[in-house]
Amino acid sequence: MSRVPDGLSKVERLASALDQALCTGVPIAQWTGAAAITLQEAYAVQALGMAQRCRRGDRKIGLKLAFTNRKAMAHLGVDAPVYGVLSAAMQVPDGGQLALQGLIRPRAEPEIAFLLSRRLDGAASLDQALHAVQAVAAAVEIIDSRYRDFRFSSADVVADNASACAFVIGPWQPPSMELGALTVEVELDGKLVAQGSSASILDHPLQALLAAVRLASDAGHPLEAGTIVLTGSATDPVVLSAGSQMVVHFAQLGSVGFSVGPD
Amino acid sequence: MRALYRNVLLLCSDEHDPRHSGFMGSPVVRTPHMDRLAATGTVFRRAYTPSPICVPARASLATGRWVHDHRCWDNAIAYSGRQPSWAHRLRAAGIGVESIGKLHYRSAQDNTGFERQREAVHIAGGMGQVWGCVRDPLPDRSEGVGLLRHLGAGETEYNRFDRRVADGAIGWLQERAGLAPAARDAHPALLFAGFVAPHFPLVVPQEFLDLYPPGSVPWPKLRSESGFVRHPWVQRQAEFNDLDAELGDDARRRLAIASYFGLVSFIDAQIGRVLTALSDAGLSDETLVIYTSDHGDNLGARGMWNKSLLYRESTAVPLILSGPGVPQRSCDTPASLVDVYQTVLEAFALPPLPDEANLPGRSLIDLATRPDIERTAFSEYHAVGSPSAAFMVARGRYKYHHYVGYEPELFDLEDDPEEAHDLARSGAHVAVRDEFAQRLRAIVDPVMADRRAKDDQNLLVERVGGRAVAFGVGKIGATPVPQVAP
Repeated sequence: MSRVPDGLSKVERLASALDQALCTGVPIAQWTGAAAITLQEAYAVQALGMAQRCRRGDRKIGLKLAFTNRKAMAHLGVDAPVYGVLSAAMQVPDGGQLALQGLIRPRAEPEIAFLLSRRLDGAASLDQALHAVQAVAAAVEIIDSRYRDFRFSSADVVADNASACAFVIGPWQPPSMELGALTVEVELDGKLVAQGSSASILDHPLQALLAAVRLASDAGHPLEAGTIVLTGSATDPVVLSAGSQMVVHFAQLGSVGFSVGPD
Repeated sequence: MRALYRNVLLLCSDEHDPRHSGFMGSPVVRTPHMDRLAATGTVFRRAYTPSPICVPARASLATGRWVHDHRCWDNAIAYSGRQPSWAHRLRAAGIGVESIGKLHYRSAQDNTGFERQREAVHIAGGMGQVWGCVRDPLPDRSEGVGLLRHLGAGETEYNRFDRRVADGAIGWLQERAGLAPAARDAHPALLFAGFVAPHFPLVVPQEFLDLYPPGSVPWPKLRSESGFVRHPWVQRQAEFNDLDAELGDDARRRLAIASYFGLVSFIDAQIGRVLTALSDAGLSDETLVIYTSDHGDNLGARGMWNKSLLYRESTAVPLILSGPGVPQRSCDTPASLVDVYQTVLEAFALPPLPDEANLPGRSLIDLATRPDIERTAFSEYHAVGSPSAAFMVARGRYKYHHYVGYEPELFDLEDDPEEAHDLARSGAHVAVRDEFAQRLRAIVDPVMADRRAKDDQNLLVERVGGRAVAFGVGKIGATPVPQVAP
């Protein structure tokens, strides 16, 4: 790990800068040019950032995927998903309120959540993964980039914990339901603002779960029992504003909603 | 309850596209014996294989289940008796059940229900074509296995094998005739006779090749020289194993077609021998005869050979039902090899068990008398050369192809029986396309089936030593048949 004049490595400096942005709500510039980081360095930055959160009393409870929407992947020029870590402090109860303080430009994404009852490692087959799913639910992830203007490279996003900010999970359902082509409708203040299908999530949400298992295992962290996995978005993200109400309907999987607090 | 038939004769050829036969209207290919059988029974003109490749299709024929249910995905993962077959059921009911010839299950040592298997052909060495399991991801190219290296006049072990299968079937009929009618009544029986023609090698005795001068065979449709562009999933298969290029020139392509036609007539002759024996034995009025095949053959259409595609050349199968009580008619009700299970049960008056009642098939005896034109036909492919799973749903005038990770295709078989004009992106057919996508999802989750197939195949690949090793295992063109000393 190369050291810079202030005694911190590049990874440590970026982790520190991102943590500062997270705490203050003031975005930072992208790490481009000579300061650009590799994907491996980016995951190291992410790990340092999460360690810092845990030192403040938070704890890891799951994993979220990003870049699982085929349309978004093509738009951003990426060809593989990446992951971030979900912490307990990020969870907003179903029907609860998202506090805007400290957030930069939050956006909401309808996703599917899996809850694991068994450990899964990278060699897991689909049937093993299904066997390990205890429950499934409609969910909303609130993403918020700590970079200015929501501009970043894939590695920048990983370093920023895949833009993880908050999440809401609807009622858990038994995992027997067919998830491949669920219609998704996103309502903001009673108006339909986005529509999509669970098939947009890596062609099938279970593919996203398998991708999460593989990515986590490759990083040396197999998914343990009790882990929550968010699959990535079924639609384009929806910009949130103070005082609004969001409800997401995931066909027979059910609905999930939350309100946005004042500025 | 008393069986409807004392005898059932299930004749199965290999790789016979039914349109290359007189009873389906071919003006070229001569199949007088099949035509005779068709004239006395019901011809299902819209019959499809559950999968356009041998082993999965035959596992579906045995179990009455779709491929994503029995999970015999390709020519290396074969039926082992794990799920019950109609042969198990017949045997448990005290009905005689024997086979002669090609079954293409895993092994003769497995309990697949048959009391006796003669001249049994199963996947080579109990392993089969493991190299075809290497498809996650699919390697850029295969070196090929010389499927079409040998063409033209001659006599192969395959030809001799088919004659022996016919001999065996004749012998079985004579044995049955040797029993008293009361004994046949008390002990009904089924024989499955599995022929290997017109499967390659495309080598055929001269007298049959002489029926089809290569210079006059119809030239295949939708070739690239006429500006036709293949669907990307099909193109990927072509790049993986370019059999059209391997054939070399048009003279050899014509010879391949003529040889295939010759093999159809050759197998027709063998079936004719069996049908004559049936008549001579005096068993015609108590025997149900079924003629079918495991899948078709592209035979140069779209520049593709062999099978493995969803177009009718690959997925259509001949299906003739003939016997007392079977109407003499042509039936447009979609039918499938999975229907054989319920057909056999009805032939022997065996009521379906609870699990059997949930199978997707219906008795062809019933369908022959009570047509159901709105029935849905289904096929799927997860095997060699395919980058992802492919699924076919046919119903009414439309036929829909779903390729995981690729755009779908939609054809109007009434206006376009040759499947030359894809309507999937036609604004006027959006509703039809979406309806068929829903119909498909009612049968199977395509992405999940694709994943399961690849999981199972990857497991096998790992077991034999990884991708590099597995890609060299089982590189044979045609499954060997038993040989006898000359």
